[in-house]
Amino acid sequence: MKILLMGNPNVGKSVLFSRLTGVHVISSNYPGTTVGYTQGYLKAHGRKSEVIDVPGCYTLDPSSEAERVASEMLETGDVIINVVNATNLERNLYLTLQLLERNVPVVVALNMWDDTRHRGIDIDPGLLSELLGVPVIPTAAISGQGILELVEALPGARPGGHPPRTRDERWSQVGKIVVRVQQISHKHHRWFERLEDWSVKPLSGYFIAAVVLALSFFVIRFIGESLIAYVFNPFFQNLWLPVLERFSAFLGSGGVLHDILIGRKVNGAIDFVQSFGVLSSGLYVSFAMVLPYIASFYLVLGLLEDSGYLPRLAILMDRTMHRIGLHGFAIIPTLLGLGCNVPAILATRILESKRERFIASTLVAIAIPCASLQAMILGLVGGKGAGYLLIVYGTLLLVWVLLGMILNRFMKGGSPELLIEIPPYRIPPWNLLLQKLRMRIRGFLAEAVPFVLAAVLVVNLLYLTNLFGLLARLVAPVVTGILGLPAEAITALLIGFLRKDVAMGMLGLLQLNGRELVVGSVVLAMSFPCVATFIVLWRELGLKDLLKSTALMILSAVAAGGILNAALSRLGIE
Amino acid sequence: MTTIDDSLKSLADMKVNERGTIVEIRGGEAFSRRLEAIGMVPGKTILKTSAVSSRGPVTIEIDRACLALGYGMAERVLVRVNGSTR
Repeated sequence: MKILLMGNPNVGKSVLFSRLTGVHVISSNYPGTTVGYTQGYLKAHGRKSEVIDVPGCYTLDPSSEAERVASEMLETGDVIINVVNATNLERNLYLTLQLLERNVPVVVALNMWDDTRHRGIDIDPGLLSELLGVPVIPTAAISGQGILELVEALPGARPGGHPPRTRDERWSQVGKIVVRVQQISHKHHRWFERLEDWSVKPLSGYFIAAVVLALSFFVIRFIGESLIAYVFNPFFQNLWLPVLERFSAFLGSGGVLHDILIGRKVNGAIDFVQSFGVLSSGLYVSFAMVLPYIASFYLVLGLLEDSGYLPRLAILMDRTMHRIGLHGFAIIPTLLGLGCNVPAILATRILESKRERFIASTLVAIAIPCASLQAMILGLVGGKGAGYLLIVYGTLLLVWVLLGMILNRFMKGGSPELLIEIPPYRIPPWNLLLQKLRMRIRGFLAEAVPFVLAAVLVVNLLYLTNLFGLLARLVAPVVTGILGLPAEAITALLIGFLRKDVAMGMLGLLQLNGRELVVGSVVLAMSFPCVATFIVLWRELGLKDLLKSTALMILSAVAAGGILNAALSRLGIE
Repeated sequence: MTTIDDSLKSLADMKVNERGTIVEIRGGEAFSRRLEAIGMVPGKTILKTSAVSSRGPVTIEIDRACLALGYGMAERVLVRVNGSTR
């Protein structure tokens, strides 16, 4: 049996889904951002049923991508659980009536039931069930209330058998039903609701945004650094190092295999950053330098997502984003890009036009450094002083704004407008937050770590075969001439195509001064996206736009790096 | 907005905390359908809750849900103002 969960966006559908299916979920759909869907299993009534979390939609008329997907998926379901937001029956029932006109069994989950009382809403579920002709079960997915009853009610699902209606008839029917089943009494503003108002009011809104973003940044750094200092570093130094040393001795402390696996010894000892072997630096970069920041970034991002703050940030940013040809909602893929550019570029699908998607994904690929790269930049550039870090981030921000304005000016078309529902603030349920975090970390381990190890392997092989010399000679005039970097940096910049974090680690080996390290980081961040991002860009933009985007990357990277090099040299910053 | 009746204005021109009834949605079929899908249909009562900067997005409360729409969209929603809260 196939159960479909359908409903408007922001009705707690995904929470209900994880209540029904537990932790064994196949893929996570990104809330409100992609039209992908999540699939899981429910064991009940003596059998295992497939449960699908259909993308949220307001109607079955295919007016948007998500609605078309939802409408198509509807055909494949055996039972529909229509998740309805009990605090907003007026709007939610439109989709319900559309579903009841189709010949498919439906059960209505009257979700957010626990929220109705203090909002002064009183609904009669029995009467609603009678009027709709299908079972109606009050649920509160976050606390788990009503989930058992919902599962019990599944066999009782039946087609609504409603006659097909026109749009106007449907709205008037919604009105008639709501008048009979729902009573509204005066509601008091809660503390939370006042905060909701404040966070989109001009002055207080910008203040709150600044506080939230600054706090996020500090929490991410604090958790990341603590994990490195108290968990991963001690593990590598105390447990892994002795193992590697024995292995090194076993391999005879040298030779080709030793250099590839363990790396070159620094002052007779294995150095996790500088030895650059697959088992030394490869593992250390993945787990002790990058993973801690990935974990802390996604924890904080999850909090921002599930508390309902991001749409408010989108509203505040709308005016600014229009200047670079996007609307406020594009801030969400941009923030995601600070974690990893791959999901960020996938998330640009929420933007309506091809023009917006091109601008948003090109800007992400060029000016938004992913968490892996940032972790290495924080470690290496931060070591030279906070001022250098500021130059790197300031330059990338400036490039993001300027390039966006240029693209907006010269690309045909305008930027469409924002239209979003603002969900109420919620305290995110911890178990769901951790479940999402676990899924994202698993994604990093499965997709990124093998790439890091492979990149370190390739670096060693290229060194051994001296292929680098050939490649380096090709781009040497640009790198040494315009960017003012030593010729050895070419290798690192080329490796950036495989993994940015590994490339940054290689720059770290070169004993660069502050200026060179800053220019190197900026060029590395801007020039070429890593291969995973490149493939996603190709898939999302098509070959022609990919080539345009790539040309922009190389041009802007050389320009920004060149200007930065000239400016820093002029100012005497080394 | 050229109109004799001054209680009739666009959502963009409404003041924050003013309440009103949607009279008309000006624009193509696709536009009115998009608004309709999220519950903005003529006859509904709305409350303008905030306006982010000049010509920034406008937020409204409708059927106890909060929506945000761009300024250009708000200009095309005609509202009969019938009161103000606070």
